Amino acid sequence: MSTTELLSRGPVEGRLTGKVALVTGVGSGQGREVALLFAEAGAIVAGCDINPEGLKGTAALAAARDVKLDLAQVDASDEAKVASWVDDVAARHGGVDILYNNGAGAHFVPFGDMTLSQWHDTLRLELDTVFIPSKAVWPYLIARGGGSIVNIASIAGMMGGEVIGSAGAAAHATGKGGVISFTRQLATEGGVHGIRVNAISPGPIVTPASEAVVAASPDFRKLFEGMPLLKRSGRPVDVAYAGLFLASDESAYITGANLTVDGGATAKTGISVLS
Amino acid sequence: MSKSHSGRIALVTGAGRGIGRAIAIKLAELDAKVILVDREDPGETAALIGSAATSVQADVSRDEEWARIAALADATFGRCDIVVNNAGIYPTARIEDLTVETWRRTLAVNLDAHFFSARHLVPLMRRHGWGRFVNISSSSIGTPLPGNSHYMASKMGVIGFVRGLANDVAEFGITVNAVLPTIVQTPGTKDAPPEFAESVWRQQAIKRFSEPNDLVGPIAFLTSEDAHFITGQALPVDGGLYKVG
Ligand SMILES: NC(=O)c1ccc[n+]([C@@H]2O[C@H](COP(=O)([O-])OP(=O)(O)OC[C@H]3O[C@@H](n4cnc5c(N)ncnc54)[C@H](O)[C@@H]3O)[C@@H](O)[C@H]2O)c1
Ligand SMILES: NC(=O)c1ccc[n+]([C@@H]2O[C@H](COP(=O)([O-])OP(=O)(O)OC[C@H]3O[C@@H](n4cnc5c(N)ncnc54)[C@H](O)[C@@H]3O)[C@@H](O)[C@H]2O)c1
Repeated sequence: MSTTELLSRGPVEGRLTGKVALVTGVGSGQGREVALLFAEAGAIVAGCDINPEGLKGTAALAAARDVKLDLAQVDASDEAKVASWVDDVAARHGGVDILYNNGAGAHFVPFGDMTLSQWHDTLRLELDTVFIPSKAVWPYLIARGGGSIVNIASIAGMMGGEVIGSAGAAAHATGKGGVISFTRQLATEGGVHGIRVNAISPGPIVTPASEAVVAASPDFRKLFEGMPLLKRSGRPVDVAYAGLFLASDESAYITGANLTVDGGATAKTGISVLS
Repeated sequence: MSKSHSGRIALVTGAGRGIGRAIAIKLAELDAKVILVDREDPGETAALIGSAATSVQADVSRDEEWARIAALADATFGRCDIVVNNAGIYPTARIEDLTVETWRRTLAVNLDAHFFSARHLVPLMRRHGWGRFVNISSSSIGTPLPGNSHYMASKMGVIGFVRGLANDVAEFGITVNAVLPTIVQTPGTKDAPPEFAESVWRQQAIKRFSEPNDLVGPIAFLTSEDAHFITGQALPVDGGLYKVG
């Protein structure tokens, strides 16, 4: 399955015209698809990733799809690097309108075996990667009179998940739950500045990251593929279109929300009444 | 440019005014043909839309009316792809004044209607293996106000029904989601004291009184192809009012 496979879809042209968008983790999976889609929708897109090989692949896809991406190798959890990346993008493109916090990582270990350093490292990879870019763009969004921040959380932040094989999620779930809480609070603080902040909680999405886990364990594959109500797993484009909606002015009155893109996985297992 | 709702038949209840009217106009702009259902004649909305609109005067709280609506959709278009269950009532009454009649009527219009719409229109959606239900709940379920116990029961009920229905129809390519508005400036709220509305929107992150058009982008999204991996969800469109995770 190619991650650039297009399943939808409606017209995208012009939906982000004139906007400058920053996207983290564009070297793979969902972030890559988001960067390409936002550029097709008319945004000026600056993307970063820690992985230079991934960035090369994304650049090649951009060329094939005939869109421009402004790519840089930056670790979203490195405060100084992120600050200079954001300053540079804002200076070259005249400001920032959209931040899409997608790049993240985790140690998946059953709780009994999880070390404190794995816990700390996971919270850095899941939470610092959201805090640091948000902090760096905040003054630019205020200067612009507003903007939209989209944080990628996960249904793992909304519901417990069984431990399959050696893949426990205590630290990951805590980080993603934190992303949802951070989103709600930042939305409340951003309102007076015209800044909207929303989360997306993807369910099972077929990406290089999830494929690696699924391929390693038939039990995990069964769980992963059996989660959605709809009879298929998610694709990066499914999340990307939700991201386009939340980044654009079509959702101008939505803030503090957590939009779950999970094929109904949470409706099936019945967690809290609202995201 | 192609439009996101070309070829779709979209039914909107309570389309005669307020939020329902704004939704119907938006879906027509996106190239859907719209069926306007309202207890009062939705002629004014139909006139604003033009030839893409078909009007049906019906009380959505009655099962037999839905049989008539579905028959009309089938006879006129041979299909119905999208249903927006928007018609709703919100009479306030504190528990000591809440009559059995008000309780039953609120549940009938705000909740029974959603069941009837599914009962009569899921078969039409199944024919084409594609469908969208968007049911209007309310952000007030997370920010309770006095005098609304019956209303909140109905709007919480909407979310329960959305989740249940999403389970039953997923295999047919039908998604079901709820949208939660905050207090919105509509004919239905125009008689409420302004300080009441303000006391609500002041608590939002976006501090202004919501308008029907705030709802149309989200409903366009949820009824489009773009949202086809989203089902069983409740999306607040409330300027950040909803407070309970
Ligand atoms: N795939 C799923 O099933 C799934 C489900 C729920 C949530 N998510 C979330 O979606 C997001 C994207 O995941 P994906 O599945 O596309 O993963 P992926 O591994 O395919 O892509 C993630 C990309 O982010 C980059 N990245 C990681 N940490 C970074 C950092 N500190 N700075 C810059 N770049 C960094 C990686 O190098 C990689 O290119 C993540 O936040 C993930 O937790 C994924
Ligand atoms: N306006 C708000 O503050 C607000 C806030 C949250 C949720 N909502 C919900 O949004 C929806 C629309 O509200 P509104 O403010 O636009 O209402 P409104 O009163 O302005 O308009 C409602 C329309 O629905 C029609 N209707 C009522 N009962 C009907 C029935 N039994 N059968 C057919 N049509 C019927 C009415 O004739 C009217 O045209 C309702 O479900 C309401 O509960 C409104």
